Amino acid sequence: MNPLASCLPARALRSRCGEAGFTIVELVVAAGITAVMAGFIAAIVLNVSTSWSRAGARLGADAQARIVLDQLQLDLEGALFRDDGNVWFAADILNGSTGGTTGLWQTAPRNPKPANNLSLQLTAPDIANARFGTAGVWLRFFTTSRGANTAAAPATISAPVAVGYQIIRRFSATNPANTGTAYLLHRAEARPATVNGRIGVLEAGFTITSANYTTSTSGSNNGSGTGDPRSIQVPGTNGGAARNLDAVIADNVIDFGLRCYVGDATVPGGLRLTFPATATGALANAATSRLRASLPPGVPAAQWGTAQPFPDVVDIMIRILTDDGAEQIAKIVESGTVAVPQKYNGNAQEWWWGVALENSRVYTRRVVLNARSL
Amino acid sequence: MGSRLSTLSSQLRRAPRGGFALLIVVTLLAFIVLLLVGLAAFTRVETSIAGNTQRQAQARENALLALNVALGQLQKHAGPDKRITATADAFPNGAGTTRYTGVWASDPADDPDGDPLTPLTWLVSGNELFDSSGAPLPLAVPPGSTVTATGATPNGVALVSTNTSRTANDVLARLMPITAAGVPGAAPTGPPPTIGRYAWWVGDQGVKAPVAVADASTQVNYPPFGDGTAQTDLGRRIRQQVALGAGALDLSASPPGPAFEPRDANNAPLVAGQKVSHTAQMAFLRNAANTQLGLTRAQQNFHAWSPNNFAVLADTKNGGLRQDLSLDPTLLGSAFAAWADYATHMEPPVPGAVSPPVPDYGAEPIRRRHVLTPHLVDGGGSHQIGPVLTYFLLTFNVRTIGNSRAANAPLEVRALWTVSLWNPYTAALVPEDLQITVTGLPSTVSIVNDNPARAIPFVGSFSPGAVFGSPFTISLPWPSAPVPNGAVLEDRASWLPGRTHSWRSIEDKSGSGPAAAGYDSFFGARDFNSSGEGVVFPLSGLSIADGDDDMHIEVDGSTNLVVTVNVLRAGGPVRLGRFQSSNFVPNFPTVSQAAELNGKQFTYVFRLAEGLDTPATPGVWLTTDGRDVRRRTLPSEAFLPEAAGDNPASYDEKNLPSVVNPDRLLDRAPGSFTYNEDAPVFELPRAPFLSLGALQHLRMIGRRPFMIGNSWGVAETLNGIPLGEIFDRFFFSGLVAGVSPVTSPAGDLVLPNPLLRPLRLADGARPTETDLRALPEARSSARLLQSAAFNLNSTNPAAWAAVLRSVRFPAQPSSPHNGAFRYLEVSDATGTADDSAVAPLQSGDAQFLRFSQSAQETYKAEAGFAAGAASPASPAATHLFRRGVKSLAAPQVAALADAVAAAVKARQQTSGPFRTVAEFLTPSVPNTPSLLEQAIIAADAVLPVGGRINRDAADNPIEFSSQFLTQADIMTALAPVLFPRSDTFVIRAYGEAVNPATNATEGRAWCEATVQRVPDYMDPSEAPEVLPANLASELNKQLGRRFKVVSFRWLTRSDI
Repeated sequence: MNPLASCLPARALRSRCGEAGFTIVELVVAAGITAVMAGFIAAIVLNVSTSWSRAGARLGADAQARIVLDQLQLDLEGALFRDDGNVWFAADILNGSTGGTTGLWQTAPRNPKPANNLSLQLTAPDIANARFGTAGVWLRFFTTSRGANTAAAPATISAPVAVGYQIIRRFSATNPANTGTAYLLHRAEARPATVNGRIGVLEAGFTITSANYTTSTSGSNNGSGTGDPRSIQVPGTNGGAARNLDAVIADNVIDFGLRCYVGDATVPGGLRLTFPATATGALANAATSRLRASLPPGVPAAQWGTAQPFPDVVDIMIRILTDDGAEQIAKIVESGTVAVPQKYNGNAQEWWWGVALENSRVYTRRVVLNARSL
Repeated sequence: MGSRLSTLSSQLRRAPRGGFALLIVVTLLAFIVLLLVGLAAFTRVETSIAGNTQRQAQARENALLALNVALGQLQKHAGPDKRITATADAFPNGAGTTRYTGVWASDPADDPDGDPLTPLTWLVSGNELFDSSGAPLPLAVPPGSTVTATGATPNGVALVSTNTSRTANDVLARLMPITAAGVPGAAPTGPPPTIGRYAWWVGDQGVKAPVAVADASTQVNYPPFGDGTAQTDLGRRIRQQVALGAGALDLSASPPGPAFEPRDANNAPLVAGQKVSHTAQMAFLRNAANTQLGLTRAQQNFHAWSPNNFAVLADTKNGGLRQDLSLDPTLLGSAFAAWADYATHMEPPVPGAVSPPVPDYGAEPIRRRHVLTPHLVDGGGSHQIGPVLTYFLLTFNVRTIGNSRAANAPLEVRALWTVSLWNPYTAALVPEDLQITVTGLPSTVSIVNDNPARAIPFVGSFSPGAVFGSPFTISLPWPSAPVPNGAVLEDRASWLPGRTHSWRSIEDKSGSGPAAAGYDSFFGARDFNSSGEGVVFPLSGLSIADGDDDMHIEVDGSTNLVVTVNVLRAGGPVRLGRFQSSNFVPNFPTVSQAAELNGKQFTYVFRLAEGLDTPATPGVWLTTDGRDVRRRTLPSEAFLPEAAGDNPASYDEKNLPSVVNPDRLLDRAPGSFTYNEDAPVFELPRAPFLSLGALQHLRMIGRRPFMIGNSWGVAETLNGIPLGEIFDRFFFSGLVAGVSPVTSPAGDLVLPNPLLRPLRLADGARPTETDLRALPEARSSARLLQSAAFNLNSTNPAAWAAVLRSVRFPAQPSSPHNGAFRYLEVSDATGTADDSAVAPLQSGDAQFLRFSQSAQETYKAEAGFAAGAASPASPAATHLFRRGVKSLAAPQVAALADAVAAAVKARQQTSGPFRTVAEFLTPSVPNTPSLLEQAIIAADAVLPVGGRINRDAADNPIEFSSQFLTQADIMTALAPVLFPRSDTFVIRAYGEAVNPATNATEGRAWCEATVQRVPDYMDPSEAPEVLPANLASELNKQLGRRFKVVSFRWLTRSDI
């Protein structure tokens, strides 16, 4: 039984209930308080969201960097070298409007990453502040793969392979309808030997600069399928479809560089720079800098001639855009209609790097190479 | 009641506002909770990732720690020269410990306990510990210890298992704790908590067969091996002189057969330039069906095969680096140096050479001629090139002049002879006119008239020396007239390998005495009955009462004749050899005969003993001490009289021996020109030596043949150096005087010994020829490593089988003539042929060459011939001597490898590993077979009749010939690559991160490094060529030569 019904006549009840409504003042006050609180909450949420976003972006970049650097460390620590006159380790600065010679580089509709000294600052004392060209360094060497060792799948056998690292601004999806692009860091690995009629490293040989690894044309047994030696130069076109992303190890990597050293007791610190370096071992800001390591690391500089030694130590840097930064670069700087902000004085190239610097993180690591030739 | 209504009314008014606040609070709380949960999740993820990363990094650091510990232990124990290595296979071992590597001191003085069965250490984790004083603790983990990787309390970890060798827990290593003090939460007292563990194992690569070695000999194309652009025949002969990489044998097949051939068309491009450097890469090599070998097969042979091994050319007995006999052959004495200096005793191998054989050398000659050379003895060795006397007959007849039957008929004496000389070498000799002198002829020959009617029977006497001259000198001219090309006689343009030539006397009744060179002889015949009257001299003042009278002769002589063979040179005769006849009865009467008869009264006839004379032990003539037929003075024991015995009077006119004996090895049918009757036994150097085993042909003074490398020679010395020790102290680079190597595209010297790898100099430059020659005491080994090295202490049959196949002639497209062994296709009709007439031999079988530099010239032979084709059933078996190549098919190699491996294992079980190569070659009990010889015998015991190594098809022992496989034959092939230790190792290391609170393993890492010992000392201030005894650096004294990490890789569980 309703207690009100038992104690109040219905009329009285209706009257009293009607009188219980909020006054306008109450509503205004309540709305105001609610608005203040909502604003407060919104501010908190916004801050949290920003922090969340930043943390997420940082974690994402950190995770990518960790993957890349760990993989590079494993590869470099196991890098192979023999004193046979062949080039076992090569590095090139790629500072052109089309990246390397892959043919996969998608040029930005506007304001591309500048192919000038803004992107080429090799002499910065700290490698973290250095810039290695529009496509960074193209690094190639031989190492031993860590495969599953499945008897039925020869490509999985742990054996010497060739690996190549390079950045390509290319389509970031396998769907041809998707024309979005990104700066993708690739790690191509040429299979250890012939599988299903397609050659591997054993057949291609141990000269990382030889034609099998650098040919610009695709042969019947060495095209650009995953694992082909040619993929060291052209990491994945899937027979020309330009959409094979098997070799991508990280995205939004806008710079990848390294400095190579050999032990030299005559040099302060005991390490002599060999790449990118002048003949005297000083940092050089030359787009033509390259490393073709064919000498053992212990050979004194006086014996080098035109050859270069295999490094003892390699410093690596990678610059990774946050997701937001990648979006800004892709959708605002390199496409769209937004004008160059005033703070860049109309210099789109400065704008590109300004956005990149504000929205990227740099990761570095020093790796000691273990192999010594006989 | 009114009060209750008022309260209720008030509650109704307030209710909406309270719900709103609650909503706000709940919303805010939800946001906050969501925020906290999100942040917590982020934090947890990030912390987890960071933790995992940290623990993985810690595990890797622990693995690297293990690697460094292993490397340090390896350096400490195996760095010095006087160390040897072997696996635990022969020693008490348990599950997972068979593959442990032990290091022994080669010098017992360096062995603390003096027990050859216990090594200095086993290179596995647990044995590296020291006590608090720094003294090493006793080995905690010998192979017999229990190491488990499974169960409730595993104390080890598998470092080699299914994914490496197809065997679960194949190598287990003891886990060693890594502790740390001051770990938060740990009790301040008590043992420090464990924060990680490590384990390591050093695998001995040297005990595995190097089966992926490319044939580098084709690059040796400079003189004398080529013209600087392409190899000539001499260059291609490198393949038959030294091992060029093992040939993997599939022992699991029935019958066993080659697993793959690294030199064939499929694999040669893959193994070129040492592209195969990793065991797993062998899965990609291709078998005869051009199918990849596969991972399973490669894994199954993980302990048997390696891509390649390198060895420091060091002396494990005395320490220090080996000396290069190519640079300084006088290290073995001047006789050896002269013998090895082939250019001085060989015609220049160029067209148009002086006194060329007919036909002349082709553009690419495979035949060489050597010049007769007198003995040079020094240091216990001897160098000479000369023929050997194999048959000598000198008969005398005293008769009346003109066969007069008149009274007082004057007497005359005549002599007839036959001489056979043998070229015992595989090389043709430059023919020259020869001369023999004979001493020891009877001092007095008395003639007695047997007619009873004569009052004085004694007719008179004479001294043959006085009549014929003393010594009795016979000229043995070589036909000097040009021999028409294509004529049957063309083979006489040279003294062909292994060929016996004969001379007989020529009638000379002038009585004028011998020419300066001696009594002339007729070349190429031995039927002295065709010699007419022979050399006749009247016996001045002697006559017989009646020509019809019977008379006999009483000879007063000596026991032996001494025949000296000289070569006639412009400066006079030069002695090539001296031969002491078999013993004769010194004083004897002849059978009476009429004085006018032509019948010979007494004859000195003897011949070189050979297999025919000792049918039960046919090799006696070549295996008896003091009876090397090349001896400066060959003693009488080496010769035998003919069948009628040792009384010259037994060989009268009616009983003269038949010179021709089809069953004799060193005999030749009249008019025969077939190579089937040639029997070469020894080889003369004709190119730079590349293998110490080839020194078996050097003559050791006063001893039996084939001393160096065989069990019977190891205790003898050459220039003061025990013959067995030669294999430990020396090597051949091939860099003899005048040889100037080219460089590879990479700039490395391409040495004649193609498996020697040059190492950079201390200043980083690649060594030049001048650099190598300038190294003191001929220690070019300071800048060289021996490729395709093999540790003879290996107990793995599959490894031995592959190594025993190191010399072979498979189809090899990268090599001229497709890698075939090409031998001279000589003419059966003429005994010779143009040098361009060759026939190929292509075989993947193991080849052991007694004549490693010259088998081409004598290879062609048909079985069953001795003295001509008319006697094919001859026991002389000349073909056994001609071939110079002993081929072993895969089943034979497999049986031999089994026997060798078993014998090595047995030896290690009783006496520990071999400490030197010399020890390996030396019988454990004097005058018994050595290990390799026992192995051959043991292999024959299991092989089927008809397929045995040193037995013929009828299961009779093969005569001691080039087809009788000896230890030295094996060493000829393998000497450059056999070492009693290893210098290439693979280290597998493991590290794990342990949670000190829970003791749980939270991170694991494996790594692998291939390490190589190099000649450089740890302290580079001392040059590698410095002998250990002269080292000043304590570091170098203790740690020896440096190990370098030549490759490194991180492993995953899938690699184990």
